[in-house]
Amino acid sequence: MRFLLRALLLCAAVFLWSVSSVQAQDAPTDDDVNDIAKQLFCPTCENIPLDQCGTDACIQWRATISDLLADGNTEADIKAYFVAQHGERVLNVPTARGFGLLLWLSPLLFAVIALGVYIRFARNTQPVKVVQAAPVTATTPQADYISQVEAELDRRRGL
Amino acid sequence: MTADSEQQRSPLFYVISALVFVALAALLWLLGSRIIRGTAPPVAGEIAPDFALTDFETGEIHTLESLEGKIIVLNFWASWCVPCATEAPELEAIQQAYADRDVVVLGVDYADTETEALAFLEKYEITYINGPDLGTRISQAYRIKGVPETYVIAPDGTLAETIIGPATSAHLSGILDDLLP
Repeated sequence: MRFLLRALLLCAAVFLWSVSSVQAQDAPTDDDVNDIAKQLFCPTCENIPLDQCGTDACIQWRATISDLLADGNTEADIKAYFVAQHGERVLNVPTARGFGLLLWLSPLLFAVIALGVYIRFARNTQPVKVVQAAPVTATTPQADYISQVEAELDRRRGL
Repeated sequence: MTADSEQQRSPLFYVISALVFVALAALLWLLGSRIIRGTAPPVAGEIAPDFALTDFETGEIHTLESLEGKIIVLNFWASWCVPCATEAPELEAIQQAYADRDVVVLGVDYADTETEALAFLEKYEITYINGPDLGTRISQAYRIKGVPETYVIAPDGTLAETIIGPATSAHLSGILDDLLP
């Protein structure tokens, strides 16, 4: 009888452990929630990502992320849900659609324009002509004088 | 830039230059209009920004046009907003007092979760129309700075009054009595 009781208790313990472990696997962790939360911004908290925001609104939003993860939604599903509810501005990175596409393309546009302007100016700029100084020849009066001075100096040095 | 180089330019150069100029002008206009729209709140006496509020309870969509001829008390709130909790009974009192006088109170639930919002409405026994601010489109159109904020819209669709912060039934009654015939 005692053996039977022990066996039953053991079975119950194993059952409870397995149920709790399955629940633990299903429940999203704080890291899971924050992985998504850090990509979102609550409209009420300027420039603070959702994973670092401590307001009641942000706490509610993180709870919603947790619920949606527990329901089997993917990261993309959850972000799409928040965009539908609260608009594109909740995303930390704008999507490449509509005005967001313009934001993505504008640096490229400016770079192309800058390159075009640079090439144009580079083509129009004339290379600087290097004017070589005329060699001093012995025919100029100044050269004669220098030669005479050098000859005199050599003579005085006894060369 | 010499006269010779001006003569050597092909028509394609002018077409491309014009296109680049137009593209740049369009980009600056877009960015500028976004900035201007982002800072200019609606002014009393002007036509109020249009909205589409989906009723939490019935799913019916309420717009400025569908409520034409009525005075609209458009209130922005959230379940996480503490002053909104003190304001809600005041708005409910207005709804009860003016229900048969062509006054409609609309609650716009801002940056909230539906579960918490519905619990809030139940807790404070709110009977006036409420709905989520989907995509924060309504709050952006009205350029709200926070919650609560209340906008009173006259029967002709013009904005009559803006209340920043919690509205009281006494204050709202004064505004509504002035607008009612």
